[in-house]
Amino acid sequence: MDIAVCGAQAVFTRGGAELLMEQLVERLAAAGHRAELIRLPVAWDRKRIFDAALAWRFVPVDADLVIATNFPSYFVRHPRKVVWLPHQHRAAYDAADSPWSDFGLDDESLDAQRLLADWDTRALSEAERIFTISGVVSERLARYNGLASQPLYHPPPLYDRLHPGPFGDYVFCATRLEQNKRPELLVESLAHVQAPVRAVVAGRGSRREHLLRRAREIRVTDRIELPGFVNDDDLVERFANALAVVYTPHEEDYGYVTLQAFRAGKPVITAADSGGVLEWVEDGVTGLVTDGTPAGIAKAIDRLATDHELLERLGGAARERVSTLSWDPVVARLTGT
Amino acid sequence: MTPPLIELLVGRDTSPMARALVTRVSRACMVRASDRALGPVAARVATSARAPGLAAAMHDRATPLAVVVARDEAVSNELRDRAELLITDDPARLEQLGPRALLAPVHPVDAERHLAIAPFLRERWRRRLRLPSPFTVVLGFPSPTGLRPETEATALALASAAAVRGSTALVALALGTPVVTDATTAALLGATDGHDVLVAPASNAVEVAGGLAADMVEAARLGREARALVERRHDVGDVAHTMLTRLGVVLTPPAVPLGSLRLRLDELHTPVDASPEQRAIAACRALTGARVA
Repeated sequence: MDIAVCGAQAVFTRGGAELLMEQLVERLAAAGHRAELIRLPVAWDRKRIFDAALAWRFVPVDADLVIATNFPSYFVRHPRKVVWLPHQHRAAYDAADSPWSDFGLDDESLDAQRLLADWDTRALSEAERIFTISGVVSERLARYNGLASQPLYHPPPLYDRLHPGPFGDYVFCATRLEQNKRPELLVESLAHVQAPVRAVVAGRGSRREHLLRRAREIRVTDRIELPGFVNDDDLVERFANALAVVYTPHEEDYGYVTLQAFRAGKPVITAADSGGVLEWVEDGVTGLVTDGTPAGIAKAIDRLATDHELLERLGGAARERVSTLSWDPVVARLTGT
Repeated sequence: MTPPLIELLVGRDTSPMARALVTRVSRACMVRASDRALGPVAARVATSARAPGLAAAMHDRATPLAVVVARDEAVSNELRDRAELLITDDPARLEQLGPRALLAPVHPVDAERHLAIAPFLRERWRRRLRLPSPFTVVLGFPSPTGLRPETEATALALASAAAVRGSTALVALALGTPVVTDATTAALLGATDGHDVLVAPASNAVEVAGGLAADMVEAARLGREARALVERRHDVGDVAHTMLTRLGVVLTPPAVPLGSLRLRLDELHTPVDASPEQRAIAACRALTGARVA
């Protein structure tokens, strides 16, 4: 089949959604299809949020099948449209009123939210099948748009290369340094950690300077490393040699970091409001679920640092938990083959 | 641009469906009664086959004519041959009225006038207005608190769920309100228990609505299906659009970029002059100097 994978392009930004689209195209090609990625730029601010959605209505896509992914690519018109949804425009839904949303309770916000929710419902309803990347995204779709969907879980990037290694002296996190990922929780927690454990937070983002400043203020600069972007080889080794992974985003959609940590045999410390991460991290089984406070996260780090038996058990269960993830069923369900 | 002028021939026995249709048409056209001198008109619409002036209108073959036929009205062969459109809400009469017949909803509502509001947005509006949440509205069922008729639609638009029966249920459905109703109302509106509405006896309809108000996922699903039911079966807008198109008053926008913009917006049921349309027009004006068709 000729399959067009459609996705939004947030220019100069690279994250989980971009990786998902690229991996999907690769896997479709590996399954014998002709697959291409079509992307249109999107602006996330409220004033311009409808522009790209409307633009997608005019994009001619000549293909046997269209697989639309994130907002607003599912506004594409095609008689055979399948949606695999990483997320909608969350600033207008569950993240409204949050510091990283420009949707509040003013008239203009509420009007825009109404129209966006209505458009979303109609555009998504055109699809012959709706899949999401996680149970959390499916639950949001049901809650906000009244639409049923099925979660379709896929392996994270580097799945075949990630491997277990010795439990080192640092907790690791690879994430965009943005507000919704809350990397500051890990930095703040270091002030409470008793065990001789460092933290390594890989990734780029607008919060980097803030994190460094905060580390200086609470005098933990000698225990925190912010290496910025790390290449794949480095990433694999940093996962392999970590004590554990700390990942505490706010209401994450899926969270590759969790799955990559599990693949590397590392338990994950997370927060009770971390969304999709909690589909994988079961407290005391594959990781530790905290109350999301720096003190709570520090307590979890200390617990793992001082209980090697627990570390081994959680890490083993974590690796087992993701052992059956595969692209084959994902490609089969999306293409209906 | 001046909207097209429609001459209205009003019969004494104008049905609710005909009234709803004319109201909807009046939002796109200038509708004037035939009791005063009008210049050339784009079309004529008679609200009854017995409407005064219809006989004369039939002789003016240059002006397209649509007639709303009441259930008990006879239709002459002459009228059947002359009118471009015969509109009925009785499916049993379609064959008798011939190929120019158009079926209209028995219980009409102008869906465009009632914007669908998802439950999560209702909750946000209630926060904005400092109203309690959840918020259940009871209409037509026994209730200790009454609503003034002029506030019913607003209350329904803000409700987490509503126990409502009778004709007001149609407005609730159009607004995408999660509705609990009785079997009679559900049957009249073609709603299915568990799909578009929940059906409950009067004795516990309010209690069922309270439970629905607390279940955001089920409320969102029912609200979406309620709106879809209205658009599928009760929206007089579709009939008005078909009528105006077949009378030659409204033409399908040309398949050029500016013309197709409105088509794309209509697919998404976007209100006229909403911000996406205004932005698109502004973006295109520099290229074309033209307004959207």
